[in-house]
Amino acid sequence: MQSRTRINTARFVQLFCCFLALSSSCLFAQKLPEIDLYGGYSHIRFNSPSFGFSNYSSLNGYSASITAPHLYEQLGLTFNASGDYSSKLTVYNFLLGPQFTFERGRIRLFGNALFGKGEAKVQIKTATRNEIASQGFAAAVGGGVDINITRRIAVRAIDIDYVHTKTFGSTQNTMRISAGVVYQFGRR
Amino acid sequence: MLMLSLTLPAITSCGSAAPSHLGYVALRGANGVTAYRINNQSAAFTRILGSPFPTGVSPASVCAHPSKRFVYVANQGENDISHLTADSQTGALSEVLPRVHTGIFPASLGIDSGGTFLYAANEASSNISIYAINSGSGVLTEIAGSPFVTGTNPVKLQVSPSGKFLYVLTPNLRSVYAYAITQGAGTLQPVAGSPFTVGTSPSSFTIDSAEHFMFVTNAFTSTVSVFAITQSTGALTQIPGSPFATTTAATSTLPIDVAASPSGGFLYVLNSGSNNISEFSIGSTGALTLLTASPASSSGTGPVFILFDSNPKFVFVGSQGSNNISVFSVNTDGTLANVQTPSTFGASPSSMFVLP
Repeated sequence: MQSRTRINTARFVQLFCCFLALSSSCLFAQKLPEIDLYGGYSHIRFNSPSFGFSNYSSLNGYSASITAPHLYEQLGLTFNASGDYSSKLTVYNFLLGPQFTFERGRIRLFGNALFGKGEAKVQIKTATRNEIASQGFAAAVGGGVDINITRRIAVRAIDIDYVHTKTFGSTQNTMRISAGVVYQFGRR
Repeated sequence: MLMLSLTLPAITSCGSAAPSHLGYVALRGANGVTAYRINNQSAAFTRILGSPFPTGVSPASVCAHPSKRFVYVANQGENDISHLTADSQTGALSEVLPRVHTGIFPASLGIDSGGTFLYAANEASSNISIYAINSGSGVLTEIAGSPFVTGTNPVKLQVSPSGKFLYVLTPNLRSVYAYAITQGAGTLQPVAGSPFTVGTSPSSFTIDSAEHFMFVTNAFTSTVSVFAITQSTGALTQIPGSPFATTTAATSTLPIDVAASPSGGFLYVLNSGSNNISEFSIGSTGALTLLTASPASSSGTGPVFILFDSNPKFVFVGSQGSNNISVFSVNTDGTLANVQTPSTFGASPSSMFVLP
């Protein structure tokens, strides 16, 4: 399980490096690009009955992303990592994909389609183990609304994603809701 | 942010689990028990993560407490009982040690409907171990006087639906021993006339939910003996016409287990020699009539047990040759239809218990 986790981590590092490479190409080709850092609260209602739970699981946690929103006009790239927790279940998603951003006044609307990997861990204690984990493909489609408070700081009023994961040999389709704060580097 | 954290969960609160119940399958070769969540409407099985959960050596029989919190497994290979607790959310089982000793070669377990006492038939030591169940922890404590001597080599026991009587099958004696259960104490008093002689080479039995009849399968003669139960005393009386043949054309052989529909209208006999199921209607006197379409083909090989789901529209058949559980739907005319791809195990199933 540890080796699988290492493989998983390595994949996400690769994804993140791809993201940085793309962003950097923009950095050197033009001026300093705008980079948005987001961190906030996340909630999902996970389809845990797909692997034997009695009911859907409500999980709370974090969502964080790094976004280059204007790599090509309104088209950018975003990398998102989230972790949501309950007493019996933990769900991680690491996703990368294109983002379309539309801005008017203090309001910024965005939509994205993300792909990557998800992981679910279930706390099941036996004599030999404390948890069972499964990793698989993950994808998310969604969008949200940012409200600029200052030139650098915005509030992400809401970010809603439809998240599809494949873990424990079954598929889970889940709504993820997030809200938090965005810090905007290089914003002109 | 605080407001968001309070309101966002409400937005995602859509989606609810389909109603389901739990089932447990003892796997003799895997020394464990596999737990399933069974869809109430379709009987589709979802394997509980972590299955199979470890038990003792060679589990032969499994049963669950009516509270749904405890599961008990008779470990035939080490003469004891595993006590497992069930997580209400994940369905996962974890064993509570130490295991409780039984007599030699425990073959069958039964719990009274109130969940007060657990009974174990010990095949080699020819006795019945009785345990009081702690309703809070599920811990078993053998009662004074246990084990109680019974007939030679008991292979199966069943507490009657009313909880008033315990019946024990002893094939070598071609007998069923009947006991009245002392309420509150769990001790056994032989019913007058017990043991009751049944057919040749009896292999299994069941009692209808109304407690009117007992049905006993006779392996080598491919018949079913039917007994009327005197509800006040628990005594057995063979009905006229019994035993009834499981086939009209020698196509159903070696009956090994039997299940009666909860409605009391139909009886299903599992034939291990011919891998099929004889289907009967049950008359008001207990007389059996083979359905025209009988037998139904079993989708497994080496079938060993048959039981009803808690939804009486479904019947499960466990097969040790093909290591699987087959699911049948019960049509309104009593015929069976195989409805799903069997759930397959890496080891042979020896027993199954389904919770309401």
